[in-house]
Amino acid sequence: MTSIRFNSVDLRFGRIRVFKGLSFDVQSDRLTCVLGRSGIGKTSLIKLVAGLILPDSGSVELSDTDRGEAERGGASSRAGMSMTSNVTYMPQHDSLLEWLSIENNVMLGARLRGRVTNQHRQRANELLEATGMSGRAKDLPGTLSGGMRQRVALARTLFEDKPIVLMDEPFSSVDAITHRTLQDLSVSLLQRRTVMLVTHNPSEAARVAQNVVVLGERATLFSPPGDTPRTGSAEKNALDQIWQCLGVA
Amino acid sequence: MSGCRMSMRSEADGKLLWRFLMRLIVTLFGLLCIWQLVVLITQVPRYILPSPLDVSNALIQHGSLLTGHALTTAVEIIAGMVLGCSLGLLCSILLNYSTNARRWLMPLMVISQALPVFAIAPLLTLWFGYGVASKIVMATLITFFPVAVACYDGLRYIDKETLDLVRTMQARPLAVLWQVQLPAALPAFASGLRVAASVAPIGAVVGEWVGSSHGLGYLMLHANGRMQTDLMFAALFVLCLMALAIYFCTHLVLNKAIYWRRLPFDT
Repeated sequence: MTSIRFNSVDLRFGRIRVFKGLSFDVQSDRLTCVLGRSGIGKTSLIKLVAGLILPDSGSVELSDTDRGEAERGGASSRAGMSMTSNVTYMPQHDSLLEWLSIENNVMLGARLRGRVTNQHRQRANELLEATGMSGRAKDLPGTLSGGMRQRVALARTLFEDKPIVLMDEPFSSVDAITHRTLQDLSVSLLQRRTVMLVTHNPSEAARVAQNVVVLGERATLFSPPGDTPRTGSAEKNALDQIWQCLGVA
Repeated sequence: MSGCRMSMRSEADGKLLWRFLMRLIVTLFGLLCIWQLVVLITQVPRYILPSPLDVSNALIQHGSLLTGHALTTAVEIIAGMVLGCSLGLLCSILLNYSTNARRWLMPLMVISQALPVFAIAPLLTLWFGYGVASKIVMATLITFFPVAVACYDGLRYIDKETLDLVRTMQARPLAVLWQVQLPAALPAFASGLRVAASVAPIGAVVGEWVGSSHGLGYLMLHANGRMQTDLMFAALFVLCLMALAIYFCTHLVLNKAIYWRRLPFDT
C-alpha cells in the first residue's frame, strides 16, 4: 500500500510559477483523478511523482504503509533516480515503439533492463489477453487502431507491476465508445494500486475516480460516492459534484 | 495476418520496382535516340561528341580495361562510404550525449563543409599518396557530414514522452541507445545515407583527377589527353551505372532495415 504526499511543493519553469506551497495526499490503493484547466500543471504533477522533474522546494514522498518505508523526491534529489522503483508511467500518447512487436512493446521495461525471461513472455501474453489483444502479439504497432494501441500501452504499464501508476490523459485521443471501454478496463485491471489519472474531462473523473483532486490556487480533494465504474444516477451525481468544485454550476 | 500483409507489400514493391526500371529504360532509350540523331544531323567530329554507337563500341572494345578501373573506383567509393557513415554515426551519438562535444565539434564540422572538397584534394594526395588511400579519405570526408547531421537530427527529435517513459523503467543507457534512440533515428540516418550514396562517387572521382594511377577518373583524364572521347563517355557510362547500383543497393538495404516504415521505389 503506497501513498503519495506532496509537501509544500514549489515549482517554476523559468519565470512561470506552476505550484506554490502545494500540499495534499494521494491515498493508497485508490484511483485518484487530477482535474484542472489546461496549463495548470497536471502533467507536471505526474512528472514530479515519477521523478522526471524536481520541485524547486518542498518534496514529494512515497510511503509504503505496509513496510513503513518512505522515498522522498526533494529539491536536492537527482531527477529520475529516486522514485522510479515504485512508479510506472503511461504517457498521453501510446509511445509504442514501431520497430518492436506488440509483445516486445509490452516487455519493453524488461528488455531495457536487460533481462527477458520466459516468465516475462508468459506475463506479457497474459496481459495482452486481459486487455483483449491476444492473437496480435507478433504484429507491429503500425497495424493497430488507436484504441488497440492504448490497450497495448495499458498492458505495458501493467507489465511493470509497480504499486503506483501514473496516467497522463491516456485515452484522450480515442473515440467516445473506445474511451468508455478503456476506462472500464483500467478500473478492473488497476485495482489495489495507487493510481493518479490526469484528465481534463470531468465525465471521465465522474465515471472512474474514487478520489478527485481539483488543481487551482490550491488542491481541493473529495471522494464522490459510489463504486467505480459509476453508471446512471451515481455517475450524474458525481459529475454534478465535480462541476460544483470546478466552480461551474 | 501480418505475414499476408507483408507478402502483399513485397508484391506491391516488386511492381513499383519493375515500373521504375521500365520508366528508366524508356527514358534512357529516348535520350540515346535523340543523341544519335543530333550526331547524325550535325556531323559533329567523333573527338568532340561520339555517337552512342561509338560509345557502345568503346565499351565492348575496352571492356576489361574499364572493368579493372571500375573495380578500383568501386572499392574507393564503398570503403569511403562505410568509413564516412560509421564516423558520421559515431559523431552524431557523441553530439547527442555530450554538450561539450556539441560546443567544440559542431563549429569544426561546419567549417569542414565550408572548405570545398576539390580544394583539399591536392593536400590529401600529398599526405596519403597516389594510391586508393587518398580517394577513400576524399569519399569519407564528403559522406561524413550529411550522415552525421541527419543522424544527429534524428537522435535530437526523438519523442520526449517516449524518453520520459523509458526513464521511469530504470533502463540501462546503452539499451536505450540501442533499442530506442538508434531505431527512432534510423529514418533520418537513412536520408543522410541516401545523400552519401549519391555524393560518394564525386569524392572518389575528384580524388582520382587530382592524382592517381588507377580508377575511372584517372582513365577519363588519360582518355581526354589522347582525344579518346568515346572511351571517356564509356567510362562515364560505367560510373553512372555504378552510382545507380550503389544508390539502389543502399535503398534496398535501408528498406529492409526500416521494415516498419518502408518507402516505395517511386518516392
